[in-house]
Amino acid sequence: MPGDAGERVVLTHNLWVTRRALDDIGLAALAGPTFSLPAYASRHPILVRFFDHRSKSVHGTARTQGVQATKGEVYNLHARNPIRGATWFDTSTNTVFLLAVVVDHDYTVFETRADAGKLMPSAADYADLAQRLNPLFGITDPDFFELARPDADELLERALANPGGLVECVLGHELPALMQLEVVMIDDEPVSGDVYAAVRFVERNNVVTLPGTLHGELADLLFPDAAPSDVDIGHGTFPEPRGKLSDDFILRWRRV
Amino acid sequence: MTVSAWATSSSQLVRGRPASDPLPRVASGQLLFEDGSTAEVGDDLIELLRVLLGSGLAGRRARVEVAPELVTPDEAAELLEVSRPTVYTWQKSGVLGLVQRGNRRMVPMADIDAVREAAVGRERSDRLAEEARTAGPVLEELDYREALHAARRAGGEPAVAVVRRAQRAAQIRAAADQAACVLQSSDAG
Repeated sequence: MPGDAGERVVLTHNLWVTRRALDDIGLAALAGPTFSLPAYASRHPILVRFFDHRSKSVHGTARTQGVQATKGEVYNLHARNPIRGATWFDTSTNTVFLLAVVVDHDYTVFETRADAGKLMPSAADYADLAQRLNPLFGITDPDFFELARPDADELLERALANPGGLVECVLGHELPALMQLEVVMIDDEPVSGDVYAAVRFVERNNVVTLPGTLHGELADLLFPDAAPSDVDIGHGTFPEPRGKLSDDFILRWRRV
Repeated sequence: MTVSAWATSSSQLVRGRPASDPLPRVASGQLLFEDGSTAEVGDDLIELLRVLLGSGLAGRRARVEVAPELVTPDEAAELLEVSRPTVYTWQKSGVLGLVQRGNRRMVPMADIDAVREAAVGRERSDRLAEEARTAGPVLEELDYREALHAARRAGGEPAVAVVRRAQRAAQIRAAADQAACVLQSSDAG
């Protein structure tokens, strides 16, 4: 199974188990933003199968009968007989949801719930997911941006006090970041230029574009006094000699 | 400095550090798990690492074995504020682990912590979901940055937190609304 010791899973999407699905298998007490599929997969066969199969493909092979979707499809997920699940890939959040589980091979439950409007993820499910922000980016603390504020302020202060030098820290104990105040030569005189910041999403896996909301929060975190129109996000490279490393996400505060 | 250790049997105890190297003085440590979660390492574990790394592990391999802290079903029921039958039910379903000690079905304390943390997280999510019911539209990227900037100038971090929370609530509402519209009547096709 992916996630076992020694095998590192590289996911291109989120996997999430809805509260109703956890209730279906008697694990409702573990539901919420702290639920970790890799950690809990071994506690039920459908979770093992969900992790194993949907980490490889967001879709299944057989659509769930009686459940028709206008956008995307709901697919069956087979665990050992007679356990069955239903999954759906939400493109807007890049997440495959395990929606429901039956332990008696009874697919009509899925259809009944769909008709009652109780099959798809609820606002509470999305709130659980939002609290994890986006595990793909390795930021897990829901208060990350508040926690990281002092680190970011200190990082900027150090960068401004050390023109040309690279300064670094781990923002909010989670996100490695570097900063550099550019020094340009004008008429053979060194002049302070733009400020570059690079954050490193170690779990980013080069698979998805950062959501726009995360752009805004990073810009506000790293350059709180900069006008939004003066901050370029996700483009460019660090000044020499560092350039850009593959895991970097670069922001630039144009000060001149 | 960050001390990181992957919990696999074949990996180095402390990444990038030869076993023969004693651990330098450290102020704090952090465990980085494969799922992205982290845990602060206390003085006890730092001391353990220091002993292991400083006592000549070179050429040998060692594994740390720890025994989970266990509580009785009665204690688990009290800690979780549920009945003892619920504890047994949860042991059967997998919510709680089961470690047999004689005729007692002991519960790992870590599982009790996990259930408590889940409950706290659910409450927080439920509040967010409630806010989402009346949330406005999701702000586009530049509009959101402008809103954060304006809030910071007007009211500092507390005002920024309000904008951030409103955006999150709006996103939750938008996602849930979209999910609710995904299904069409089974008669329609």
